[in-house]
Amino acid sequence: MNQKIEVHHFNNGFDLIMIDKPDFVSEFATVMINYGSADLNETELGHAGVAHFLEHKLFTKKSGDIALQFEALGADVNAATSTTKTMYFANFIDHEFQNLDLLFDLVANPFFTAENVEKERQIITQELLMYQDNPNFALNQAVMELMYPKSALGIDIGGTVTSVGKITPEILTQTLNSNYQAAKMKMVISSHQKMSDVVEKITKRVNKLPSNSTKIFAAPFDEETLVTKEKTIHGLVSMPKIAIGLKFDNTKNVALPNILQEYLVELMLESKFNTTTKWFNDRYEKGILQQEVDTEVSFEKAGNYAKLFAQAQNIDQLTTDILAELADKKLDRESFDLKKKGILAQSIRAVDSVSSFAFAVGELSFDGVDYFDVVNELQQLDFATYENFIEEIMKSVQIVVVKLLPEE
Amino acid sequence: MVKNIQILPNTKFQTAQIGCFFKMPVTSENIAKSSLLGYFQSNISLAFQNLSAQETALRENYDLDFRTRRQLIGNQLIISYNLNFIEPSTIADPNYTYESIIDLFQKLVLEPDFVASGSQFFDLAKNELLSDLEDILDDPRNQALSEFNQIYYRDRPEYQNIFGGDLELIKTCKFVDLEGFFSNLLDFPALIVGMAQKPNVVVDQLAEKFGPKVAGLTTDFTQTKLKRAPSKLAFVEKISEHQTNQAQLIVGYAYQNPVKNRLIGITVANYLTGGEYSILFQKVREDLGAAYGISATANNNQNQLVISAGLEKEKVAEVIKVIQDEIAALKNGRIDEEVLAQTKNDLVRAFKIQEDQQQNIIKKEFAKNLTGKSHSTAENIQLLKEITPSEIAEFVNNLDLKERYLMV
Repeated sequence: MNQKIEVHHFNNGFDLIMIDKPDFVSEFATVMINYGSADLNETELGHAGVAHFLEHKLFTKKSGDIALQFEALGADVNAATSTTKTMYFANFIDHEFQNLDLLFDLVANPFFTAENVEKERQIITQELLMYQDNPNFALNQAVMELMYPKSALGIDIGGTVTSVGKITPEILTQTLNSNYQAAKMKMVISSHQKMSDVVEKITKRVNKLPSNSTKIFAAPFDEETLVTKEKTIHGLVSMPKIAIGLKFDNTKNVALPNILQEYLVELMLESKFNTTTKWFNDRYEKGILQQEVDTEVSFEKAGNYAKLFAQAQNIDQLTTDILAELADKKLDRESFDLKKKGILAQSIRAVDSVSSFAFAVGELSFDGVDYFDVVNELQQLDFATYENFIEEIMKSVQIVVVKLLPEE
Repeated sequence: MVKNIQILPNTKFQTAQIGCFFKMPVTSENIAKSSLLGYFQSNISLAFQNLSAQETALRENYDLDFRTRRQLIGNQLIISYNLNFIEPSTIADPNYTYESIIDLFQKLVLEPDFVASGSQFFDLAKNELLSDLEDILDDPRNQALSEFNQIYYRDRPEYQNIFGGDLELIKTCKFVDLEGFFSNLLDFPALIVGMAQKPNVVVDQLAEKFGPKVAGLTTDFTQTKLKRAPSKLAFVEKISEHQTNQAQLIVGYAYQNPVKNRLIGITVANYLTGGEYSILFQKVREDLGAAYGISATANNNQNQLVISAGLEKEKVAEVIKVIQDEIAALKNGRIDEEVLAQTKNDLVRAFKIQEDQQQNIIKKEFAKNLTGKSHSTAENIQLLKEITPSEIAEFVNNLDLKERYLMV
């Protein structure tokens, strides 16, 4: 595959990554900050949601909403917060360098007042309520809380209505100053522009980025033994649902990058539960399961975990079945080979999605990993390494179960 | 001679895509059966007589993405089978060729398992569909949309059920009914459009595999009268009680007369809710803080404009007034020229970037065959630029408020 990616390292730690798209009409640029919702020390949990609030509030400048300036250039701008990153991005067809300039303006030049923070609070509250109206939100939230009772991973990205209520202009300013530092930022651009031209255009702006010593997090990585491992909640659902959380230990000493560890755990879960498995087919053909079991895996700064979601009328029996299957140490070789093909295909497909690919490349870059190196490494991985890794990681896994039952 | 197969050259994407479309009139029976057929065929076929076998076959071929879909376009029901796959030239696997892929595609589309063993899976597919529909309606936004539609189309039940179809018809459909539906399907007008690096090779393979079995491929696919008649019913206001954090508001207007400029509806919709520049975004979200998002969609084939939002319950009355005031302003020709200019800019960008989206390129090709008309990006942009404030006023004066639905 011929996808050219170049990286330029600036002296202050800022990186520029260019993804060459010579045949594409549109361009995409993102500034990614290595600061997400879970990057909160214990003392900061009271204002959880601050990363997301900051993402919203930075659009307000003294001259007004900066989005209007992007839109005046014909660009579409947006932002998003994850547990590990905050991302500001724009999609445009022309005025390339003006749009890049605006992106630098967006992540700086704050204008926080008591009045405008209060206004944003109302909007964010509506956003939180919108998510909370989806019954699956409560299920996901409950399983994360059980796995991470003491860290920000156990709190929704947007925070809670209470924690958002405690965010002040001062807290936003402090958060910005501590985290929006050159060495914690990368710009990823999908474009037909030349690297040298872009470097020349943005150097001045990059050199103006704050480069004070960055805040050190007290790595809120819960190592403790979980006390509460089961919970039942009720909601407006037609069928009982379940979320099973697998909390893994900190495996930072394992000689595999996070992304590969993620793939291997995904592989393990899929080899046990996806629609190609006998396990799933037996239950589908008996009418126990109508939909596939959804899995989600994340190996990140604040924690390593996996989640499984399923629904069935006989949720207790299904729970027992899933836990029994998780306890079965046997791993399937055929699934291993199939998954390798799948990841290769996914990685090729991803290249066509300008924004998703840019984010994926950026994320991996923060972990010091090249996108295509990872894909190649996985293709070379042997079954024995996979088996050993899973055996090791499952030794100390803590499993939590949340059931969501229809309201009586 | 097979004429309805058009494969565009793929010069920039990593994946190829093939869509096989069937066109038939909208009836409640057709919708229900097409939904069931989609689920049935997604799971098994004559070549792969259980879920695991079919799913494994897809994954073994580098994660072939096979999807069935049902769409209502104006007064026509379009049943589609879509296959997205990695271009064979990207994969060094001599067994992975256009021929093998299209052969598999043909098996999935044209050889459903209507032998006796298939009836068990028919029942399972039915349960899966019904379970999915329940799940969809657990989300209050979908519940609101469903209830809105039940009212809006109370004189035309074939359009009432937007998710999956009439539940009773799905429940009472028999295996033999579905078999009959499928065999008739192949006689309806059919079209295959797609994109691949070697279009001639793909066309030849499709003609060979699909031509003899799909009589509809020799029929004219164009639908000259596509538009759904606008609603002539009296206005209804409905308030529905539900346990949710946010209120859901949906307001529906019918176009009473045909539009002169086919892009006017989309322009008005974007003027109202397109980006941060848009009128309702500014007034409902930024000024009132009443919502996280508000959206407007205009559909010429349905002769309908719909505005919807999840709102803070205490501010519903204010938001309704804002919407009424803004519609009234447009009717009286009070159009913000800056917002209009911005709207057009935004739509120009949206048109141009379609060239970077494989799905949209194919959609355009499909639309060309369905309507018999082709509209280039340049034409669309010209048409957009020609829209004047007085034409907008005329369009909005042509709107007839038919329903206001509120879930609180």
